Amino acid sequence: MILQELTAYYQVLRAKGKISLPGWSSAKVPYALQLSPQGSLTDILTLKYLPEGAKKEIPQSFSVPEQVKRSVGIISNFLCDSSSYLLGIDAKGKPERSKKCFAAAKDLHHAVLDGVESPAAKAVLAFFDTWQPETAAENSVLAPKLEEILSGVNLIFRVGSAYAQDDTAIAQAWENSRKASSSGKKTGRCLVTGRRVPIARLHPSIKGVKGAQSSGASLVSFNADAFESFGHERGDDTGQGYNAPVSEDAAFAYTTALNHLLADRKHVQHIADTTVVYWAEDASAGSQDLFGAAAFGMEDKTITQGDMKSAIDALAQGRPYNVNGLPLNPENHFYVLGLAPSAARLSVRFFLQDTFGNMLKNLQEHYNRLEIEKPSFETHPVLSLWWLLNETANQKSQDKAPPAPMSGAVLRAILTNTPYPSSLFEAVMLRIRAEQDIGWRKAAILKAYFLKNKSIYVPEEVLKVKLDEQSNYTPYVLGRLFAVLEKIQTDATPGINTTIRDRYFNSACATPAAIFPLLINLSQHHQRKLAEGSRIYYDKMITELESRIQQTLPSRMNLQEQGAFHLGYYHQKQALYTKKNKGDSDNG
Amino acid sequence: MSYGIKVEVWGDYALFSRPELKVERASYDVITPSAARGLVEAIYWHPGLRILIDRIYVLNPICFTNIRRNEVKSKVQASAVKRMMTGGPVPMLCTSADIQQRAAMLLRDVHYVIEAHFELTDKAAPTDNPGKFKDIFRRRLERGQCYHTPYFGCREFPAHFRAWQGEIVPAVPETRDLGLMLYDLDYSNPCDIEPMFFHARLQDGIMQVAGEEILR
Repeated sequence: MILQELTAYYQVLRAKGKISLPGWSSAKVPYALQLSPQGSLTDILTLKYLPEGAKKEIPQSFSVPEQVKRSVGIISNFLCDSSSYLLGIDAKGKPERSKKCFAAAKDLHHAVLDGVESPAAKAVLAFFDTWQPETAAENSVLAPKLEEILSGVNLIFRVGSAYAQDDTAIAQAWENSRKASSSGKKTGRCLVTGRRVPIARLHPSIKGVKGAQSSGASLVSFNADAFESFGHERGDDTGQGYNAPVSEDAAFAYTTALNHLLADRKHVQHIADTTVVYWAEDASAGSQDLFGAAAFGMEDKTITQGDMKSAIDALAQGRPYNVNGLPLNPENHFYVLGLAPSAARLSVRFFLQDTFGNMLKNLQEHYNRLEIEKPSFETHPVLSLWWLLNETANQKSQDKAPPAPMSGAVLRAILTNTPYPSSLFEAVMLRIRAEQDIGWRKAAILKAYFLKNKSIYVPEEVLKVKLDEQSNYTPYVLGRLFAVLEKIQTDATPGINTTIRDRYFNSACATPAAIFPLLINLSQHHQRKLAEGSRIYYDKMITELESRIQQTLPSRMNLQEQGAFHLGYYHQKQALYTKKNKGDSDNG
Repeated sequence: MSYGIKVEVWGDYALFSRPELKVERASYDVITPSAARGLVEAIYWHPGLRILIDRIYVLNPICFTNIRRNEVKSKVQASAVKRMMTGGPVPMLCTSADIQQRAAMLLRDVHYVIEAHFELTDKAAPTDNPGKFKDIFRRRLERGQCYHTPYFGCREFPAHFRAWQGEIVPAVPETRDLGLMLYDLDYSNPCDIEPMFFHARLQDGIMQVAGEEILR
C-alpha cells in the first residue's frame, strides 16, 4: 500500500529526472571548504541564499552521497559531513572523540578514493593526509566563521571551480563502493517489490514532519524489544530490518519519494498534529495545485476561482480538463497521506487513494452539503477545511489547534464521502454552547452533518440553504421564535449590553419548557416600547410561529434537536436582517 | 466429495498489521490468509488436519479508524527467565518507566465469509477421516464452540462466528489491487522464521487465495 505507492512514485519522478538516484540524497549545506590541488584549505565559501519574501538566509540544497543514520556510534559520511568528521574539531568539548571521527572519515575517503585518477579525488585525499585537527582552531581561514562551522552544520569540498561530489570519477568510485558493500548481505523476500534481494537493515529517516525530531524520524523502525518478532532482534546479525523485509532499493525509493514530497513546502498541509502530503500517480504538479486549492483553500495565484470551479466540475464528471495548458486526467490515481509523530517514529494517520476525479467529486458533494445562506459581508465563497476545523476549537485560547484525531477523521470522511465523525458534531455543539452564538460556519457544519449522517433523524426541511417558513418541526420553530424574541428586544432597547441570548440561549435550547414561558412574558414588556407598526408586525410573527407548535413544549431536547434549534435560530436571524433591508427599500 | 467449510465472521474492529507498519500499526485492507487460518483454528484444530484458506468474501465496505494507546516497549527475555530458574534475579517489567504511546490505524465494522478446506496430515490417526473432521467442524460451529475466542488480528478485537447459511455470498462491489500481502509464516526452520507473501487482489469483493503464487 503506502510503501508500494511511494516506490512507484519514485520511479515516475526518476523517469522525469526530478529526484536523486540511488546512493544519493539531498542535504542542506551552508558552507564549502575550498581546497587547493595540493589539498590545503584556502577558503570557506558561504552557500546561503535569501529566498523570496523570507527574512533569514537559508542553506542551499545539494545532491550528496547518501548519508548514514547515526545515533551514538562513529560512522562517517562521504564528502558531506559536520566539522567533527571533516575537520576533526567541534564545539562538543570532546577532543578525543572528534579526533576519532576525523580518523574514521579519513579511512572512509581512502577506502573509496584510493586509486581514483582525478585531481579532485587527489586533492581530497591530500587534505585528509595533511590536515592537523590539533591546530585547526587557530587556522586563519576558518577563524571568521569558526563558531558556525563548529555547530554541526554540513560541509562539502570544492576543488577548483567544481564541488567534489560532482566529479564524475569520484561519483563512479562512490557507486562502486556502494555496490561492493551491499553484496554478500543476507537476502530475503522484499515485501514491496516481491523480489529476493538484500534486505535493508535500517531505513533512511523521513524529514519535515511537523512535531517530529528535526533530524528526521522513521516510518519503518523497530526501536524497542517489544516491537521485534521471531528472533529478529537488534543484536542479531540479520538486523532489525528483517522484522519487515524491505529491499535496500525499495527502502531508498520510498524514503526519497516521501522526503521529496515533504520538502515541497507548497504542497504540504498541516491539520492539527498531522502533516498531510498528496500526490498524483503521474506526478503532475497541476493535480497537486488544484487539489491543494480545492481541499485546503490554499491561495494559488496560478488558478483563478472561476477556473477552479470549472476544472472541478469537469473532472468530477470524469472529463479531462486543461489548467494553464497542462492536461489533468480524472482517471489518474491520487493519494493523500497523513503522518503524525509518535516518539522517534512516524505513524500513519490515514492513507486515502482514489481516482483524481472521484476525490474531487467527493469534495464537491461536501461543499454542496455545506451550502448555507451567508451574511452579506462574508466574502469567502466556500468553507475550506482549515476554517471548518477552526470552528471546533476555541480561537481565544492559547492552543487554537483542533482536536487531532477528529481532524484526520473529518478529512477522511470528506474525501471518501462517508459519514462525518460524531466528534465533529459534538465539538461544534460545544463551541456553540460556550460562545452562545452560531455563526454561518457552524450552521453550515451542522447542516452538512445532518445531511450526511442519515442515521440521525432530522426532518428534511430543516436542512435547507435558506429559512423554511413551512416547517412544523418544534425544535426548528423554537429556534426561529428565539431569534424573533431577541430581535424584538434589541429593537425595543437599542445598544443594550446583555440580551436574552446572553442569558437564556443555552437553557432555551436545552430545556425549552422551563424557559420559553419566561421569554414570552419578557417579550411583552419589550413590545410595549416598540412603535405601533412594528409591534403589530412582530405580534403577527410570534402568533404565526406559536401556531406551528402543536405539542406541549418539550422539557428537554437532545443534542440533535438542539442542532435543529440552532439551525432554526440561524436561518431566522439571517431572514430577519435581509427582510428588513427589503422593507426599507419598499418604504422609500 | 469436498471438505470445504464456509465460516461467517464479523466484529466491530480488526487489525491485520502490515509487517512494515507494525510498530505504529496500520492494518491491511482485508483479513490476511494467516489471520483467517488462526481464526478457523480457534474453532477447531487437530494435529491430523491442516487448514488452507481458499478465498475470502468481504461483506462490509472497507473502513478505517485511528486509536492511540499506552503500551510498553520492553518484553521479559526468555534468557532472564532461565537465569531466574537457576537462582538469578526475578525479571521484572516496570510499566511506568517503559510506557510508550503507539498509534494504530485499524478497520471498523468488518464482516467476512472465509472459505477454507482442510487436508489430513501424517499426524492423523488411522481412525481419523475427512468426513469425521467435517462433522466435528459442523457441530462445533452449530454450538458456537471454540478453543479460544476467535479474533481479528489482535486479541483485543474478538470475532463473532457462525457457519455461513446462504448460497451466494453478497460481497461488496469493490475491485482493487491490494498489493503484496502477508500469506503466512514459514516455521520450517525455527532459527529463521521467514514470511511468505502473495499478490492480493479484490475482485468484486472476493479475494482469491487458493491457486495464487506464493512468494517464499
